[in-house]
Amino acid sequence: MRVFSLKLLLFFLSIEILLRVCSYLVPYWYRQAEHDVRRNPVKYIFIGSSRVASSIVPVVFAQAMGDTNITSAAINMGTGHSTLAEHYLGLQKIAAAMPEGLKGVTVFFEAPQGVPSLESWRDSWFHPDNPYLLVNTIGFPDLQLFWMKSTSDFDQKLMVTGAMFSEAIAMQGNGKVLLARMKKNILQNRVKVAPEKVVLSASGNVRTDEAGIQNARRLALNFVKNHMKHERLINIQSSNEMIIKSLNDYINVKGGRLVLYRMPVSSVWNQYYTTSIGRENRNIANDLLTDWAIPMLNPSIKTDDDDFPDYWHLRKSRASEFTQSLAQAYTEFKKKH
Amino acid sequence: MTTMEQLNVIFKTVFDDDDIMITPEMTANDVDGWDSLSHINLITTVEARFSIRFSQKELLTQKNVGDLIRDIESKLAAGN
Amino acid sequence: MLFNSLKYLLFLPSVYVVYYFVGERVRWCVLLAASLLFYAALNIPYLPIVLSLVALTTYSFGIWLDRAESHRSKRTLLWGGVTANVLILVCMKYLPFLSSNLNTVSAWFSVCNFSPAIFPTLVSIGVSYYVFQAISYLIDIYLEIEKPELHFGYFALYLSFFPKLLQGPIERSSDLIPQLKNRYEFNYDNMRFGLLLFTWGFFKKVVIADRLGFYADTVYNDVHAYTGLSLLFGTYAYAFQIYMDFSGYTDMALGSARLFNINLTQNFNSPYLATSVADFWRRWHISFSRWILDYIFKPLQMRWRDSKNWGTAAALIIAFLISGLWHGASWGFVIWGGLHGLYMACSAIWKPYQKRLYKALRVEKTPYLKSWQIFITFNLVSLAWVFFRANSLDDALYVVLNLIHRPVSNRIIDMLIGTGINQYNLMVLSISLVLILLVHFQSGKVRFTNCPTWFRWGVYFLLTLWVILFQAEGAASFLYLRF
Repeated sequence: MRVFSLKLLLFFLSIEILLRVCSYLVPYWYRQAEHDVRRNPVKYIFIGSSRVASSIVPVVFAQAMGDTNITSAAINMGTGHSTLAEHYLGLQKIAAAMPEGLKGVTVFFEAPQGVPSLESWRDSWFHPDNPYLLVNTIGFPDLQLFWMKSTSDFDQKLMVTGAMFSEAIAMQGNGKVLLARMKKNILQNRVKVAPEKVVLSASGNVRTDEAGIQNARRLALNFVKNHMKHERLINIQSSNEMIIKSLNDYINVKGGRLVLYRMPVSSVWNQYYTTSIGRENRNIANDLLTDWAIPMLNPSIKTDDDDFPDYWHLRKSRASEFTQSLAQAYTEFKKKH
Repeated sequence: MTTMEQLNVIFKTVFDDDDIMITPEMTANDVDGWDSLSHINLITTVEARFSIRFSQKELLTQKNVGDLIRDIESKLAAGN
Repeated sequence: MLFNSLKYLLFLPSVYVVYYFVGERVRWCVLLAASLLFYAALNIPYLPIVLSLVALTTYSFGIWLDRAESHRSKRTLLWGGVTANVLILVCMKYLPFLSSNLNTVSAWFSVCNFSPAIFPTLVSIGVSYYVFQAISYLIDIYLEIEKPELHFGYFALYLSFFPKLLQGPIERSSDLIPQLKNRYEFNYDNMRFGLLLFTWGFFKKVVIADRLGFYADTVYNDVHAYTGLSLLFGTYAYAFQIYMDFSGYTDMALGSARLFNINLTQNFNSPYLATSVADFWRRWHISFSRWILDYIFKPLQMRWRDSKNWGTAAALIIAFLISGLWHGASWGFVIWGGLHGLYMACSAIWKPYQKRLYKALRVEKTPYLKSWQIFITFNLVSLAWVFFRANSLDDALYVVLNLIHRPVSNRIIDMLIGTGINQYNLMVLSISLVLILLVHFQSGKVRFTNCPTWFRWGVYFLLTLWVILFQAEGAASFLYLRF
């Protein structure tokens, strides 16, 4: 029995070590960012969903802001299925990796139709389709709060916790991602940039094939329909538990600044703020942001439905323009403040 | 002829094989073509040849040739 | 809890550790408690109650049956016990189906305007399996080939032993109870083999079955969007999906049980290599088909033996209709069973002529005949799977009628891409299937334990990493769980 147990332990340890090495060699998202900012401190961080991923071009932004390190001054952390909780936790990692915390750093967060996500710590901290994003950002000190506050179901919480201890659990099903990242790392210098056949940027897990686009459209319509059925008024009492407030406080404490910007959307989403509940929600959101002194930028770009091929994401050909108009809005803001 | 010998003749006929030599330990696994479908032919032939009638219980508990012989002989002895 | 969940991967070793360190006399308690916990983890409160009910009823009837003197009282007790179990099963699974069909019938005849009772659809995971075990236990006592188990703990464990609780195999008391009572001694080979088998089953389920499921589900959840070869491939994909899924589960069950030195019955034996439908049933879900054979088919066949082949045919059809119905309360399952019954009945009647035909054509015992038989059998079985899988009778009929239609596009790639299966999945699937074939053809020739250490450890690593990295996205629960 002893021999068997030892051999078994040895076996699992080897698997664990092997996977940890793989994961260390090909880090992604915040773990990669953490790694990168140690060498090249960053000044502009863009967080949010896949909308941010496809509409912001970091190099263009840094250039428009007149920065000398245009390849590393700005990073785009937008990813599909990410939650604000994950971004908060991820920013903690970045702040810890830079010598001066977030001093002089601006964090940009999207506000579709002028209203940012008002997720609370009591919601699920991860999107059920991708719990690994939380695994990528959560740290051991956060575990207690995770178990007490967030409302995901037991099995998923167990899985996230397990994934923090064991790389084997975290890597479940990630063969494809691992292979893709390894391929990217190896082929980095030899990858040819595809011509403008692709209408959407594939970053942040956006599907760019025709079937994927059709699928995304269906999803958007269902999403809106569902939202309209379950419309609720924002609960002001729980505003203290809103992640965006914690985020703002945290960034300020670390010496940085949180800035929101109006994110253009396709007309599919117009229904959100046309009902009476919707209008009231918009007012509540605006009041909260004013109370917390979180500024809202208004990029002057004009878009129409044609610019959102799958109803969610901005067309690739307009991303640079959008980024520049955002940089311009920020520059003007800085002059006044 | 003993019961065993008579049964052997029946086996040869039902399974169309002149080389069969039955033993008490023999089961369906040992004879080519002896499955639940041909088993019923075996049983009806045995019942007709010996003029006996097995009960459900006997039929469901016979595990090998030995059991079959035992049941045949007990039926014959009971004058069934 | 499901075998392919983190909870179970933590549960199993914990149970083993506790089992290993407690005294011999309490070991059955550990297993029984673990089994109840395992069942309760499904979060369906009435299920453990149903299990207890079945256990208590069957245990009592078993003892009374054995003590009964007269033949008539034995018969009464047998029917009593069996009926009680069947009633429990019917209440759990079939009430909504029965009542909705009764309503349809009464609507046709505009008979009595009774307001239909609405029966809730109850979850009945595991019930079909241990109720069948209970019935086999009672019948074996009646036939006097088994003695009743007097120790309630062991009896309850026989019904509820967690590796086989949710999806079988359906164990005979003579096979399982003696093993449960054996003294446990650490057996290195069993531990090693158990873990390997478990991982192998895991591989079949999460890497292969779930991936095949992507394709089969896409086609079967929207049959009218497909035609011709897509439907054919979708059906073949399902045939392999259900095999990999169920045999994967069985391997995990057998592997788990092996850790405790318990050998559960083999449920599969390369079913798609069967040369006839009868042969298929000797290789597919073996514990279940043996149960049907011993407790439904044989008694009926014996009862009707005077009607020769027609008696056999009738017994076959009824046995298979019941098989179909056991899987669930829907006409799809009944038709699936009926089809198999028909195949078997025809085969029974046609067999003697078939033998003569092969002899005349001089193809007996040639490899061509065997390949032909395998091909035909696989297609007959797949045809029946259409009814098993389709979401409605309508869908099933559509599939059957459109199987041999001209496809929209002649390129296979187009057909596959339309259904969402991508290059990456195909690649993983192909490699995995090659692995399966390799193992299948090698396992007859070489014993794994005789291979050198580096080879064995290489296999352990490869298999474990493969399972971890290439799990199909979106954990799907086992297909046979809902039966």
